[in-house]
Amino acid sequence: MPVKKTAAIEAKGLTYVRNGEALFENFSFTIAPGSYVAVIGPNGGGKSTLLRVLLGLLEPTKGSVRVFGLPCGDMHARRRIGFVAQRGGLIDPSFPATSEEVVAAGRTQVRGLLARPSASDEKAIDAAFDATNIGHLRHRVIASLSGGERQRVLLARALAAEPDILMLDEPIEGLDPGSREEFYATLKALNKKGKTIIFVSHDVHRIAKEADSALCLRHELVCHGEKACVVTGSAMKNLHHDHNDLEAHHGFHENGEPHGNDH
Amino acid sequence: MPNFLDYEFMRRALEAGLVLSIVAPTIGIFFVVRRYSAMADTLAHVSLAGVAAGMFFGLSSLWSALIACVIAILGIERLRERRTLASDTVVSLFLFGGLATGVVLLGLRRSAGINIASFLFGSVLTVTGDEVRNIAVLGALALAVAALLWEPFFAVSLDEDVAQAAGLPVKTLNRLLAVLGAATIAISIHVVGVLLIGALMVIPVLAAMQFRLGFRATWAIATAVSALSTVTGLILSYYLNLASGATVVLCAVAFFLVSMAVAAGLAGKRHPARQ
Repeated sequence: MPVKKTAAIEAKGLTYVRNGEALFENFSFTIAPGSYVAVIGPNGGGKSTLLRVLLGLLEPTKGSVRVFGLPCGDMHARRRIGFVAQRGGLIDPSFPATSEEVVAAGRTQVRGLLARPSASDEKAIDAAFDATNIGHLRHRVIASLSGGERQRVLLARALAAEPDILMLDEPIEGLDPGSREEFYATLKALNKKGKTIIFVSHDVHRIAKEADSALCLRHELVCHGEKACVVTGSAMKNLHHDHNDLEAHHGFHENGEPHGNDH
Repeated sequence: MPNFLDYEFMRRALEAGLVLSIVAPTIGIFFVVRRYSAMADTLAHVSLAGVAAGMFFGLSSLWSALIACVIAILGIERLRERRTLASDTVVSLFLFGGLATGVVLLGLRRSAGINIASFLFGSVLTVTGDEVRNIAVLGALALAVAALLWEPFFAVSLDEDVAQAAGLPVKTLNRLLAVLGAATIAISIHVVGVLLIGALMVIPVLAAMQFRLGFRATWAIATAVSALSTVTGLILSYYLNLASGATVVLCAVAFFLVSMAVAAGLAGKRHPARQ
């Protein structure tokens, strides 16, 4: 008899109400270990709030989230998740810290509040620098880094905790195209090594090339499942009030085809 | 002219000042990077109410200031959690409330010959041996806690959301940091006074940040600037007959300006094209 694999994330009946208005209602979905999931939808559709609920930063009004079978507030569950926040909400650029200090901060909870850094911490930090190809930035202060380099340092900080799941909230918004591609390539490599990636993105056109499934939402769970959910555009049409909005935001035509197919 | 170290009151002033000069930037660096300066100011003003209340109960100013600040921290956190008032409004409420309470209570004790100015601007030259011992004990405690929790404080200062998502006890660490700020303020009352307390927590750190180094290196430079400012300020105030607390703070400002000029010079050497 085949052994049933525990879901990386299992959400049941999730509802989140703010100021009397439901940002999303009765969401249920599962994410398998090793998936690459794009969380997409229009502004204010509840993407970032959903991510914060999955991270345990916000308490859902109703419903539950389990991470590898554990409640998401459980310490062991939290240690299996790495988080990279929105670019705009990150560290003050004038913060006096080297890349190494920032990445090492990712180990704080893993080793315990009062414990001193050990050889295993060093090993995990080295591996995080290697995985993100930023070993050469190790001793640079973060104020001297480009936006793309800084985001890779923050990705390395998340990886230093050796998580099984990476949750990213629009981490590459505002970066130049080269930095974006480098970031995507790093995530792809991590996904191939077994990390589960949950990526909140505005850039549906681009994330469709990376993710193998999608969570499409606009207050309700419009679509959850295979890649077709993202790439056909049919689901995306439902996410927007009108087609002009769809085209302007995500580069999709009314027929659901991306602009790239014009040529 | 006699050497200033010939006098016991100057030796005590230097001892108290040096303890403060290490503790203030050690706790202050976390306040600066988290933009908590308003909190430091508020606690400083609340400490005046604590000092005044302590006089009624016969408590030393150091411990009564610490108790008042801890009560204020708990009150501020409680009101913030209720979310009926904006965070900065709550802090202002305690700042003005603390100052007003302190002035009224000290006014009631005016007949006892209380000099409000000594609390507002410091009077390090009148510090007693017992007070130096209390300052050393409280300072050592604050430094020990900061050293033990350096990494968690750093992680939370860097990004509260990420720290919380990782499972760090962010709320507890924030309160503990505020209590350490309260301890720093209690230590500072005699050296620089309520109105200038924030200066030694902030200015040396700002001076060190000009060099754009890592967190530990910034802390080390800030501590050196703070110690130099304290020693230079106390010596100058003795020989030039100036107000000691204000002279220490002015020295810190001078070191900040020097740091800015040196850091700009170093940056120019590293990137000559930008000149």
